[in-house]
Amino acid sequence: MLFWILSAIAVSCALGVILSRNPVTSVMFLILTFFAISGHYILMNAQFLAIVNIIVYAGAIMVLFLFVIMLMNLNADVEPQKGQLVQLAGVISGGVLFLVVLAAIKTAAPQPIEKTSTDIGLITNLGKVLFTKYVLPFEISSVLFLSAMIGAVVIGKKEEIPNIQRGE
Amino acid sequence: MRRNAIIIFMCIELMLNAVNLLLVAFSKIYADADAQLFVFFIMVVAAAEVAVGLAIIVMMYRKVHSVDINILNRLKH
Repeated sequence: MLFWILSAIAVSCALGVILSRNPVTSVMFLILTFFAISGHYILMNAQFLAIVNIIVYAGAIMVLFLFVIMLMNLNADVEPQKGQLVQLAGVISGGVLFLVVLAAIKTAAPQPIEKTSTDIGLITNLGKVLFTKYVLPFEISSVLFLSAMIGAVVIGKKEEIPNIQRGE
Repeated sequence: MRRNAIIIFMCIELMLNAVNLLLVAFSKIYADADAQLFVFFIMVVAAAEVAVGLAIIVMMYRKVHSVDINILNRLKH
């Protein structure tokens, strides 16, 4: 029951991200979507990922988005409507893709969930696997963060206007 | 269909979250912890990509004063 409520919230907020006019409203809908998806993670017994999702996505990335949107002072923009035929074609192709994915999932028929262990999502077990089996990607991701930070600062730096000496 | 570069960025984040949800569901079915760690790394990459991408958008906005992708598309000319 809770699954259907969370799914309805997630899907409707995701649609709200795409269809809303104001960019700030889109960000708010996206934050609600992240909360709904974190609720799904908790339902699937992945507590660490749920909390990390909220902290990283809804806490840091969306705040960054809001800062950039406020910096640019975007109003609700007026989109030129593409032709009705193109919109209808888009809806039909999206619906067909959805039907194909649904049929593939029904044909695949996943095996029933064995109740092997319910504490995979606990942070101790995840940490054990992370620091033994995936230690190299973990260290490389720290280098990735460092390079992303340096790149963002270098890209965002204001260029100083050089004093052009005209040689007079 | 949306012209705003920031909205497109948010839709990319939405797609990454959809993949995360799928991976966590698979981790639940097959009782494997590796999928949840992969989700963790996807979040790492998404955070780094948001930082760099927003820096690029802010720099473009300083030059062109618009975030319309049709305008940003013509930068190569």
